[in-house]
Amino acid sequence: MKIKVYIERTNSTKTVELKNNYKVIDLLKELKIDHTVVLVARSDSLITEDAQLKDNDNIKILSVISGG
Amino acid sequence: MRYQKQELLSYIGNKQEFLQKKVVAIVGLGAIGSNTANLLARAGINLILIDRDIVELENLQRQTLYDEKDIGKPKSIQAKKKLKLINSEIKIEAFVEDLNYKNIDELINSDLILDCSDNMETRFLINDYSIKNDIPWIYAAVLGVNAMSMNIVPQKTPCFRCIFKESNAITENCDSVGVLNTITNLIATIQVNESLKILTNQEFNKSLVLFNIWNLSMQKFKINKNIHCEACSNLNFEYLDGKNTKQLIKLCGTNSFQIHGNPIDLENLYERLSKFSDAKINEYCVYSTSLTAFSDGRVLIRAENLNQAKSLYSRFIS
Repeated sequence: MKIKVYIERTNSTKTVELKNNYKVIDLLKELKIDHTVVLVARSDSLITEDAQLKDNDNIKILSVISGG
Repeated sequence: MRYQKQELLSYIGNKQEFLQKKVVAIVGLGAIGSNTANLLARAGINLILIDRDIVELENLQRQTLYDEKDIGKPKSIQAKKKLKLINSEIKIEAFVEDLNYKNIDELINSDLILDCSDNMETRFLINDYSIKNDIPWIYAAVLGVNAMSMNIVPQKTPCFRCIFKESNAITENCDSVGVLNTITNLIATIQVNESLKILTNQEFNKSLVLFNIWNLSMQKFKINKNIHCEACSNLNFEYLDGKNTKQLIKLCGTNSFQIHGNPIDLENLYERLSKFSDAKINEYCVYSTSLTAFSDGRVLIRAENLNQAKSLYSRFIS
């Protein structure tokens, strides 16, 4: 399956080809992104690491912000 | 008379009197907190101010309650002085403390807690306290030109731990990326806006909001409760119980580390530090270019890395 990934930190978008049973956590491993420092959204909803990805998904990877 | 303009608004109207009975605790009086405190004081809301730090020159770019005369003095005390000049009718309590599991019960007994802190550990602690005591809180954070915020109202929204994970990773911070003073003002305004709704029992935002002020963009993301959440589902309050408390933490803003050790004799430390540096002492702390020490045992150390911070601590404190 092909999914479109927007990475907010680098302001970049890429299309990634993944196996059909891939979950969010697998995608983050593939992209070498630490899962503890990001939030992942599909369209306009946050999804968990266990969420199953689907063909043509639009995924956004947002960096957690902690400064005050 | 003082609140005439906001009483004219249908959103506030006759709820102004109700608002004036409310108490909001602000955790962190830095860039976000000094702006939220300013707006809430002007709106007539009683405040509890908690901050562990002193004012430094590099804070003045964005921390709007302070001026050059405040440098070297505790933020919460200086903030209270300024806010009292703005609105002498409200009650303000100020604490020069590091919010932790031992003192949280006595410090933030309020109707609403505003997170204006600079670290995730404090946010997980506030989250535990909020759920256990059924008190709403609002997360707000900034980095660069970006900011995030989320309202957490027990029983009505998912909690912070439903969404955010514990992390030991070293991430980008205001040291490495910097921060624009317009984004800190913006997110403080959003936080106060949501506070007014929550305090007056009106409909509030239930999404995570993300702003990029440079691009003038705002995104809202729906959030779902995690049925396995340690805090709001399992009611396992690890941060409130002190199980996940670190004695040494990296702070945002400058190359700062906080080490919490045994109580410190400030006079004695001042004598020792004066031999090596331009140390100064006041009723709250001893401070020099490399460290600020409080009598309760807290030491803020400016260092390039963790090891250098530990080494400075060993040399001057322990």
